[in-house]
Amino acid sequence: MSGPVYDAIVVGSGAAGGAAVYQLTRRGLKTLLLEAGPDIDPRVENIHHKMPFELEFRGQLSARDRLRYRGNKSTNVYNQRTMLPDSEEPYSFPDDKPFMWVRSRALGGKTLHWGRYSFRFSDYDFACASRDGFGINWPIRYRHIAPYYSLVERTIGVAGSKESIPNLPDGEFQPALPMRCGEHILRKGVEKLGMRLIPTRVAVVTSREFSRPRCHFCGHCNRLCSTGAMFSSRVSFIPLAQETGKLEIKTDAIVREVLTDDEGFARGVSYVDRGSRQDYEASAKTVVLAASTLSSTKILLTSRDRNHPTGLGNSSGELGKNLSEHTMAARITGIAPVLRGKMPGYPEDGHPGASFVPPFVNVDNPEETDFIRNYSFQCWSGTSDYPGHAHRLAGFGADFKRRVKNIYPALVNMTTNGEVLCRPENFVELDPDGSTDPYGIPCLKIHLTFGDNDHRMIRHMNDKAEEICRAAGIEILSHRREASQPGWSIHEVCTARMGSDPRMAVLDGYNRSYDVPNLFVVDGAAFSSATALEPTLTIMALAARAGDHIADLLDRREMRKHGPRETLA
Amino acid sequence: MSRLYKGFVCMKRREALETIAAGVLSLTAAQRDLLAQSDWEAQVLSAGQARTVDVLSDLIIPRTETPGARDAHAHRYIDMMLYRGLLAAERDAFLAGLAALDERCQRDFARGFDGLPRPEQVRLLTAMHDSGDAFFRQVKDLTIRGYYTSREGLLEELEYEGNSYLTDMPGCTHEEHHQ
Repeated sequence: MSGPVYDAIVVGSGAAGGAAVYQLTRRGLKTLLLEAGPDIDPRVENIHHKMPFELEFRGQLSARDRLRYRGNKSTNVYNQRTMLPDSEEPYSFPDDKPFMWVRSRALGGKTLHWGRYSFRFSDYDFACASRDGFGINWPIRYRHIAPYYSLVERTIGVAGSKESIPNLPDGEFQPALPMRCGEHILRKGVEKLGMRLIPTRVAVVTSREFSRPRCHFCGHCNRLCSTGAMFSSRVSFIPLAQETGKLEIKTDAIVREVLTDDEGFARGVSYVDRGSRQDYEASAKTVVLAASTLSSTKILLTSRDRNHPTGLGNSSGELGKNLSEHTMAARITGIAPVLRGKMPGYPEDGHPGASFVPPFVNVDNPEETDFIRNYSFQCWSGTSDYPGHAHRLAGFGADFKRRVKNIYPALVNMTTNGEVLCRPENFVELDPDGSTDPYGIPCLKIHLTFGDNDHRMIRHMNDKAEEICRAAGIEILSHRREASQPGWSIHEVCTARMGSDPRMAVLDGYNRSYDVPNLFVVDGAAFSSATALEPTLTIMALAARAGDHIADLLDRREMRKHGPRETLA
Repeated sequence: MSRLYKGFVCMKRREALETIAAGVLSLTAAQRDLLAQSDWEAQVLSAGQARTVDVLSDLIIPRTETPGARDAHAHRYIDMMLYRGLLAAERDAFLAGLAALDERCQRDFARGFDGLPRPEQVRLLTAMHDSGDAFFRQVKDLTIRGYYTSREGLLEELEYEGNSYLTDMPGCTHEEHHQ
């Protein structure tokens, strides 16, 4: 194989890959970024300010596209260019365990249209197993990651308020955004029950002095931000890395496998060019997988060889196992009676954030309830560009129309993120039927169901949400109590987990493979537990930290050294 | 290829030109309703079916002090969805429901639904609503979607002002909500 030998190859350009190339290139490393999709600049050719009546099918997908993107529920006409049709990478699941796998293929990955929630984890999360005896602890503690949380927050811009909540550490915030009327009314109920409702911390520029433009409050961030005020790797980490002159990017490059040498080290990757279908190899001193939790896991499983028969880096047997995510239940739409018929005077859906009840059960006492771990509530309210509640109101005619309008500004919504426990029976594998994608790459079969603990937690969230509504005087219009379909949270994590014990974990505390010392996995696959918080900020902080560690190892010429790893936690 | 589809292509092309010229999308560009053109023709519904769907949508969301579903051409929206917006099973269910309603009216009144006096239409629709009729549910949902995504429903009825550039996010400024 000829061609340059990079210091590092990073596979995937979303939150994880963006943060990794940012830190690697800042440290002076010659880095190749491989992205499976095209480069789409969200700031041009953007239709996101279009009104629905200006678009065919009023902005909904056509029947044909609904079928093409069936597994990719976040697809809409605005972000469709960045989303992956099912046929490009089919996947399967047991008939009784449907799984929704949302994937983007474009430079910037899912950060192009993500939810933006950016929370720091705490030692309540990192030392989870010590608290309740389940699973494994993370191999790091808050003090190890805190500087990288700061680095990421300062680089991407996170709006938030300092709240001094022990299990939700404050960060380096841009000005927080004010809550809307319905959220304030909900807050009173939350506080009566001894919890907190705070402005969500969101990766959107709210400062007038920042390297990217300030938010213009059009709302609908998931349609791709036309100014770059919302963070995506495409408008932040990647251009910053390009400024160093150390970054090379190849788009439409679908990685097949990590290649290894005779000594068992990674020597590069093989990839297929999406346009020409030609196969290529690229060489590097370090390989960093950041392709998203399940895609990185699939690459490792596909990279099995004589020395690694069950997948690369899988001497622990944990690769592909422990699949976790968040369960979303208690999906409530309610009405704040005092807001009926009171138009707010501004478009409330222009808000790029919402409000949030931080995890509150099993915090001081991990055995407070009949389940372990915890959950958080997301809450939002007010007017929007579609009155979905109209579908839930009985009747028809003039009175129906008046009720739709009367309730429109009074709507209050809640849902949850609950930690799904990591259990070995929730796992991914290469499809035993041997099916492959159009490029000949094996497909993934995904197995995930919620367990007893998850269901006890779901019952608690449903009851608690109703209790909050009662305390706040909010009338419940609809309450979907059933758990979301597995995959719905788009927070899949833990399938190549990090841990202090190489018999129990795939990666060490620097996201580094125990088996292949110059191989790193820096996306959600590395998580040791899901926690009840959105994963993205922690993915970025871990990826930046791994980038620093890679640079240190190369500086010290220790990248190709086997042996025991230092224990951090 | 349908006229609608051509319209969409044209708009995309125009938008691309604007983007190249201005760097960002111009919000002052006319917000044209794709379904409001004067030479509209149904792709799926017959003239009689289109009349019935128009009457149904007008009963569900009538004109009051603000425009109703008829003003918003909800039946055109429904025709567009039947053509290429709904899955085959959804489309077939709708057309079967529409045929059943027509058959029933022909049997009981010797004329189509759209030819009945308004009180009779309301009585029939009320019975369908009360019995949880699947076709009523479908036509109501489609009317809601078509009306509230139209210029009339979104901008005039709901007074929606979003999708715009604001200098600030005011949030709640009512003292009484904060206490």
